[in-house]
Amino acid sequence: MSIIKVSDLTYRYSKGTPFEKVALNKISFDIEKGEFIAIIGHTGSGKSTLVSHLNGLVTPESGSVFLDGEDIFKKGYNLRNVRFRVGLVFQYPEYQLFEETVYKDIAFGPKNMGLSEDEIKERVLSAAKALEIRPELLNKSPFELSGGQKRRVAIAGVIAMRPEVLVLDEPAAGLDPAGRDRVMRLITEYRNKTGSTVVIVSHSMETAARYADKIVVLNDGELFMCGTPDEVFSRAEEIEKIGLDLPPVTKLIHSLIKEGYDLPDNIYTAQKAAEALLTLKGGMTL
Amino acid sequence: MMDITIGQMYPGNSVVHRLDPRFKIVFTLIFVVMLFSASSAAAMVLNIAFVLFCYILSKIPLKMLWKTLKPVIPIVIFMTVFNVLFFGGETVLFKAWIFKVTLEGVMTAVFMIFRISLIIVGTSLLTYTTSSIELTDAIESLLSPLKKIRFPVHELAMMMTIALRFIPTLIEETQKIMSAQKARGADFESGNLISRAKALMPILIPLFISAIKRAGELATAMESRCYHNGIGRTRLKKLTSSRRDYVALAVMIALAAVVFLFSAFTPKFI
Amino acid sequence: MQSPFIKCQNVCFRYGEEDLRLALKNVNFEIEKGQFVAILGHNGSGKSTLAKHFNGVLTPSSGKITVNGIDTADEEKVFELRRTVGMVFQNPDNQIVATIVEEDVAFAPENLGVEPTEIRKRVDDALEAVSMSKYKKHQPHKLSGGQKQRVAIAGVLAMGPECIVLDEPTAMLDPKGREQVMSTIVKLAREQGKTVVLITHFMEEAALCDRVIVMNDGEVYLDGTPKEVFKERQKLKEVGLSVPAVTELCAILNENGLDIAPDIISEEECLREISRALKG
Repeated sequence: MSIIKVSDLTYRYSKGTPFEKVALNKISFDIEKGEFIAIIGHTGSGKSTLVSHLNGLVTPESGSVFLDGEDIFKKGYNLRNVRFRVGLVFQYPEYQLFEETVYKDIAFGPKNMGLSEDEIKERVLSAAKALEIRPELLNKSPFELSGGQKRRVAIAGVIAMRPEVLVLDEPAAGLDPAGRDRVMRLITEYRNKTGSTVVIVSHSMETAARYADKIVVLNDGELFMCGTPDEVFSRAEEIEKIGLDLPPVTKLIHSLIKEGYDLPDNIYTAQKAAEALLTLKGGMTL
Repeated sequence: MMDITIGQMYPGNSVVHRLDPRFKIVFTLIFVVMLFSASSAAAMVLNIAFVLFCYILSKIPLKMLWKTLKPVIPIVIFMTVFNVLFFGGETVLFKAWIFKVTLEGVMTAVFMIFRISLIIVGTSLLTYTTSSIELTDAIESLLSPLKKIRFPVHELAMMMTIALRFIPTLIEETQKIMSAQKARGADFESGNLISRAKALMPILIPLFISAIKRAGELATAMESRCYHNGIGRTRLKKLTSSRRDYVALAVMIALAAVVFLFSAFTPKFI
Repeated sequence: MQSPFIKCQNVCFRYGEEDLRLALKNVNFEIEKGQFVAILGHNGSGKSTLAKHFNGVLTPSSGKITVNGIDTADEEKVFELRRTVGMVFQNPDNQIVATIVEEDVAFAPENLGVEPTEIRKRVDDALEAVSMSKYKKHQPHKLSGGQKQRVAIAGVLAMGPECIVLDEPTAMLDPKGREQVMSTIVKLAREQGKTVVLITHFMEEAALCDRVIVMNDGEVYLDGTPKEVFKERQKLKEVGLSVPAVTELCAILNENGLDIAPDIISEEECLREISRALKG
């Protein structure tokens, strides 16, 4: 059974004023347990609004979100509990840091859950470990850390709640290449180890293709496409039309396909492209 | 997203937008005096008509009136209830327990509603039609005699500009931080006063830290653009007053005189 | 011979007196007038610290930097220096002062005491140069990130600087904003002939420049044309940087015996080269 079911979700900004704008229009899709999903779209496509519905921070105008089969917007449903089950990491999450020490900051979520001191400690330490936060940093002020460290502490703060679904909005935005790779690697490792369901929001087809099992493409508040990376890549031209960038390598391979070369259309890394080209070249010389 | 209208400009090119901001500030002051001296229904009606006329003249949609008033409705309701219940007076309408509602009280309350609403709507017109730079230039210019006693007029004006510029940015930021803490299970709604005040710390601390960081970066950026405390500073738009401004001033004074006369010679409201 | 526009001689910098770590260590290089230079490095490599030295926001702890003959440590000439070198920072929100686009762009010339009619001209020209003329009456906080950053660039252009230093101007932007800002920067360098120093950690952006200086641990690590620098794939990986994807692809193909130049940096070049190799 799917862990999250988004059903006919519709949301409008500034409802009832002349500035009214549809942010989400009848979005439906499922997230299976243990799946790694990427939601992609350009700025203003509604992706951040969509994920704010997943943990009940924003209430839809119509439609709903079902968590384990239960409507989270149903009257009397404990929404606060949903926040612990669907952990949401916002864009540039380092602005949420506020405690005196890194330890206390990571403990904020678990504390709000009303857990025992021992349980909190265990969770903080394991979350810190998962995000490669060295133990000696735990007693430092979060404001003394570097940008990349702050980002990891903020993510650890959500992971420490042990959510069944971890949602991250642009987790690597603004980091340098090494920082980006590290954050994405840690998220993948966390997911592989715990089997949690992970949803990431991204601008980048490349990130989506590299990490996700399933890609949801949003455009102007509509569900534009939903499928495996291969399925999505095979419709690359449509993706480009809605203003999303294809990875440079994919663009190159697609140009070569247009020139008549027989190459797979789902390539996005230099390594894979090189392999395909070498195979092709080998075949040609035979 | 929250809609904050106070202190924000509503860009346009109407006559009101083009008036000299210094005059606009003076007009606003005259208006406040007019409003508080209005003690008869006729004088109040004249004030209402004046504000509506100015909105129409400035081509600001009248629905902005509502948007402006919405945030202060709780205050207005509070004042109304207070006046209705506790104002003395003779013509008792009805009595219940220790409260007695009098005609005078109700009238005062009605008058109060108009006064508060008009003062907010009227002064907001100044910020709707005047950019913050114009506004601060005007304040600087009006206060410039104080420079002689070494009052930091320019610095004050610059502080105002920056404050106005950063209001929307900080509001947006507050909302972001609130959402992020809510996502970690922070609870801002339940508990007693003390625990609620405590619950604000996860919002206030990041907000202050970010504001301080912004201030530092802004200061560097301003210095990089050769800012040095307004010494030898010129202006893109020099404040110039034209005949239009003097005509408006004359109308304004005449109007104020009429309001005074109405207040003195038409039947008092209360 | 013309003397270099920017000249760094043995520049060292530490943030505090007792701070043992040098943020910059013996930095030496020269930048010619009109050159379009990228300074590349990961976070903490010293690239932003270096950028802040070019207009005297920071001054070297030891060593010397001159820009157009002005010693950046000379306090008497600080305004001349700032007028010569315009700085654009990472977060567009924190460098816009006014609530109307054109008034913000006017900020610097106003500070410099420029005549109102001349300010008007400069503001219009600057907004034109960044393709933001039609937004001149807009409120900055309602613009997109890419638009705000272009307003910030216009605000600096209005000073009439000979050189523009941009400190990670695209780091906080989405792909569309990044593209808008980059094409504006390229235009300033190529069409207006400004000396442009772009601090970045995006390889694809560095590939657009004339020259790439790679910083690592406060030192100049590599310095050369993009082709020369991106040929050093291994060396870049060692300091946590990569090369553009197309460069990577061509390098792998080359290593595997395909007849392809190993120093490709642009997508068009790459396509041409691979097409040729496949046909050959």
